[in-house]
Amino acid sequence: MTAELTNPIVARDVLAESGACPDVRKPAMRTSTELDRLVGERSARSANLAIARRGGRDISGIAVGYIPMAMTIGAAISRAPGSAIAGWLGAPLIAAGTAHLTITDIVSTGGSLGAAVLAGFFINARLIAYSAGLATWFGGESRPMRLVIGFFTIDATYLLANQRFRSDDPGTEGRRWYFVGMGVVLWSIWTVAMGVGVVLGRGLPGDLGLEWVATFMLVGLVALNLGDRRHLVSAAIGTIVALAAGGIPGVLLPAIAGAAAIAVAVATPPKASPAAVDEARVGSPLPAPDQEAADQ
Amino acid sequence: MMWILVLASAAIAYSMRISLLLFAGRRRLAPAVDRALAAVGPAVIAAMLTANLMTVDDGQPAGPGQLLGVVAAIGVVAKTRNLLAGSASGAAVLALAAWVGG
Repeated sequence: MTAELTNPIVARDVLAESGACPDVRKPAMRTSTELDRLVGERSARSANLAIARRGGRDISGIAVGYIPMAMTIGAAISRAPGSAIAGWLGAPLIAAGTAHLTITDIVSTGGSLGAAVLAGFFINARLIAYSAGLATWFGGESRPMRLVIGFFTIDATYLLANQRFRSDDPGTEGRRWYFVGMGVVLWSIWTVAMGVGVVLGRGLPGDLGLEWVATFMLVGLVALNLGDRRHLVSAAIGTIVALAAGGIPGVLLPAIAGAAAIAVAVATPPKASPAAVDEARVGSPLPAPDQEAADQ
Repeated sequence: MMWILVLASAAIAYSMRISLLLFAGRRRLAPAVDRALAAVGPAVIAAMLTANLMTVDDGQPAGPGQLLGVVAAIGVVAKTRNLLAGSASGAAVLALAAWVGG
């Protein structure tokens, strides 16, 4: 017996027949229900990954447009006093170019920490509006997923998500994967490009002269959403406020434009027939009440 | 100082990003609130873009070439729904205007 057990194949058969261990010679039997579930899970995972890849592909063109800006900020970080690594970490953590560049400039020119943080706060105030807008699409998600969605929220992801979900809504799960796909691609390109800017540092001009590429991208994103009447009206209000606000400090402009748009939106409810209202409810991106209960 | 600045700015930015996303949660918003929230984003972006175009260099507004570039970008995106094409068109018009203007 001892000699037999020195052969691993014989030992396996002996142990299996004695019942001392599970018989690994036979494949585990699975019920058709279990197989269906496994196949379903695999195809659902493939479909979700395809949607995430679609999100990444959709935003990659925009992300490329942001590379010059990221490199410019990286070059500014390399010239600023203090840790360049800390400055570069702002790429994935702050993930807002205008605010990042502004606070770096303030520190570089001898400004106080408080002034820099306050400037960043006002410039990024628009993120609250994006958070509110995305709650329409992701309000039904779990708390951890909403934390992830929030992390990837910025002008490009917000605008592109709105445009995509209005024209071709992939459903609750699809929205989640699409948004995360966009975020991963945009964050990766932004972080790497800023790192290149930091490393090349003083070898780069302070102004690459390509900042207009990012502006054209942002303008294009707004244009993509202009098919929606409410969006068009809001954008027009923001433009008028900016044109009229000659003396208003730039940091207050987002707050004033947002307040004006809110006032107009609340004062002008959409005119719709009862049938249209019912149809809109059916197409609502929020889960139905019974679905909400099931989720909880 | 840079560490504190970056971490503080990141914390504030993240708080703003998740603020209403967490607050609204699964609650169904009133139609008026929904309309109001949806209106803020486009207005803020349009205002910031317009302000940027009004103060390009030392407080001077964007020149004709830059404005033509913006118009080209909007036109191409509206027509083709292609952001990269729109941005490339804007950049091409801007480069052309700079070349013509010497």
